[in-house]
Amino acid sequence: MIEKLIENWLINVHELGYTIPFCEVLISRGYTIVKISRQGRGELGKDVIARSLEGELHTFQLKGPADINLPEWQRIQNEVRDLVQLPVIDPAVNRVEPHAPFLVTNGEIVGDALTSIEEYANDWVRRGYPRLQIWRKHDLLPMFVESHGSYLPTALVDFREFVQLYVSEFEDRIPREQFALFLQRLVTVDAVTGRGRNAKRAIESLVLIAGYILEQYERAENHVSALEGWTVVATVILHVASRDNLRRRQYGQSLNLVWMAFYRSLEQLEAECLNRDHFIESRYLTAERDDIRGARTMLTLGWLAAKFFIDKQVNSYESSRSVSTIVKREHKALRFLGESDWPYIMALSLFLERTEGASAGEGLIKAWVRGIVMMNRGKDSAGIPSPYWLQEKVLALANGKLAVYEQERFAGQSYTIQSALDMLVRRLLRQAVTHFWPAASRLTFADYLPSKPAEWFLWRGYNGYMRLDNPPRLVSWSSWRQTVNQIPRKSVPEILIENSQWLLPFALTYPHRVTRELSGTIDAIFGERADLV
Amino acid sequence: MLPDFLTLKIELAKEQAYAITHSRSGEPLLSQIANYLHHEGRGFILRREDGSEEKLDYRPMSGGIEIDLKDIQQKGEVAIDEALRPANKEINEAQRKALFETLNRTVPSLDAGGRPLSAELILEMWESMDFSFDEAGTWQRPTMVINPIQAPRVRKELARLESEQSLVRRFEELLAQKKRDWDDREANRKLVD
Repeated sequence: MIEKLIENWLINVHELGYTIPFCEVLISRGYTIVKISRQGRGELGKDVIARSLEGELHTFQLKGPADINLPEWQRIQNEVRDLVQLPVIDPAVNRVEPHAPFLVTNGEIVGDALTSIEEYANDWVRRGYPRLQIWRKHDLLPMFVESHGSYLPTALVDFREFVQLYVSEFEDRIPREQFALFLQRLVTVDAVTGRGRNAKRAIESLVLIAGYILEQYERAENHVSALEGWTVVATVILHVASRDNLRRRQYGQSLNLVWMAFYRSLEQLEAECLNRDHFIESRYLTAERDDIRGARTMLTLGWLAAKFFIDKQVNSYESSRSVSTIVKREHKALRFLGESDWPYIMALSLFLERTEGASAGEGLIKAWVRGIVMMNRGKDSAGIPSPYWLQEKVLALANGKLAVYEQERFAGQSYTIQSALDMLVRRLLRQAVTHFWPAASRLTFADYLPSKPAEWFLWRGYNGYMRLDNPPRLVSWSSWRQTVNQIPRKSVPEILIENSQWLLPFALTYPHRVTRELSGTIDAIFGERADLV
Repeated sequence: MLPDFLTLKIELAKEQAYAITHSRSGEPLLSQIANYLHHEGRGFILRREDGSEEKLDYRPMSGGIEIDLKDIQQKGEVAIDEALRPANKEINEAQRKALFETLNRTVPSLDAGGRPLSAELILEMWESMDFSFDEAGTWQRPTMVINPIQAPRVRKELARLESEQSLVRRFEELLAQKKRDWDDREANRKLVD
């Protein structure tokens, strides 16, 4: 049954959509990916360059999903000629090294096209070029199925969950929790028996399964949901890697692939934002309330800010000015809805600090602290929804669409005010901290401490402890400064720091994992305001 | 099977489960205690204002529900409501027990030395406590938990507190002192070097 779903996906996906899953299939067949062309712009006819288990260089041009008939073949002929006749130009490859070219399509080759292709291929061989090989839908499907090994969601509950996710409303928000729990079940300790090699195989299957779902969010151009989805996939990989003490070579290639898919969506989000002059979505326009647009603005600006820092890690500054223009234009629509907004506020304030000056970033942090204090003022205050309440749920609550049994008490507690005050302390804003402290100190500071590094990467932990801190009334500025200027490296999983490009995406997607220490780590790495010790 | 309305029934069952675990009607003490939902973990680490720390694991508190299908057939949904009520009571009882265990462990006690409950003893008890005031400076009267048998006596002694001049004066002095203490404590919410 699941093979039918895979087939259904495979025959409908466009070439860019199946690039990443196809590479995952190659990895599972022992290939090492050398290069994937960006945005499907095959370089010299080569969309994917990979080295086989035997060390041969293979080059792939991907087409689909439409069948290749004679007119289509005539249209793509030059690209395929480049694939066959031009060498591989890549720093990792000697340009005289021979390569085996593959034309890959998730459709079929119909009519006279096959004869024509074979004639051209024979002619190229006669002229001393390598033989063109062809992989069609009926070749690809068994490769995809085989790549899953025994890690397909065959249990009925998992299969039903997969189908639900597979036929979701892809223009809506991705159900992060449901998606994470589904993926986690595919790689439980019981499922990944034997660890090591099996864990590698399970991860490869996981990326493929996730790809079938996430590609549809990509196709719907629902970039933020795709970003969150790929972040969930990366997080589950980090969970397995931590839990089973995997070596980098056992999960690194898959994680890199996920990063490519993630970054592609991030670039597309930025491109879309730069092309628009507003953040209004016109579907069901009468329901386009300020809080809904506020949440959309928060999510979008947060991810754009994250992209700025991700790019900065590889020294690319080109987008900061245009993103600044968007932030300036849209920031007025921001709404503080719940504490799951905190990582977005943090990313935005760090971005503003870099691009607009310290006071702009600080202003946002102060506004956050002020907001929490205000929401907790008075004995009948409502408080602010905790980071366990994602934006979707907070909006449902705010609009009276949440059942009574789902509601909770929030007043008197905050999961983020301490982290925000820490940021003010690191910026030596003593006056502001002095002003906020009498009200802030009446709150209980809460966060969750996972028991082991692997538990950090689960959507819900079962072995850690909630930390409920009722702060003393009197606090010392100098000891507070000392505490927050040095973040213990061990307070955050090492694997997350090693893969620091995932830090902000992880925080944005799993807001309930943003402890005081993780906030400090982000401020240390991206704000450069503290040391990791 | 016969026609069923499962989606609706799941919603109703969730509402009932919420009511069983959250209803505090007839529980004046429990109903004053704030409930917070912890979404994960095996327990919590509580750090108090004085720096003391306690690590506690969660404990299940449950109540059994027994519904006889024959009862439903005879009485209708009333039979379900009747069956749910004891579960709510069991849970509240377990919570009350846990509350007193915690209070006995963490709150200092006053030994009355065998004296009968009196207005003087109540004042003595209040003297040993910190009082709370709201933002407008209004006293947040502490809750007294007593055996119902003592209720008439407590009412009488509280009435004495409000009518006997010497006691009224003593109480007013105590309240003023406690307000000053509270003001001092609140003024102490600050940042120092």
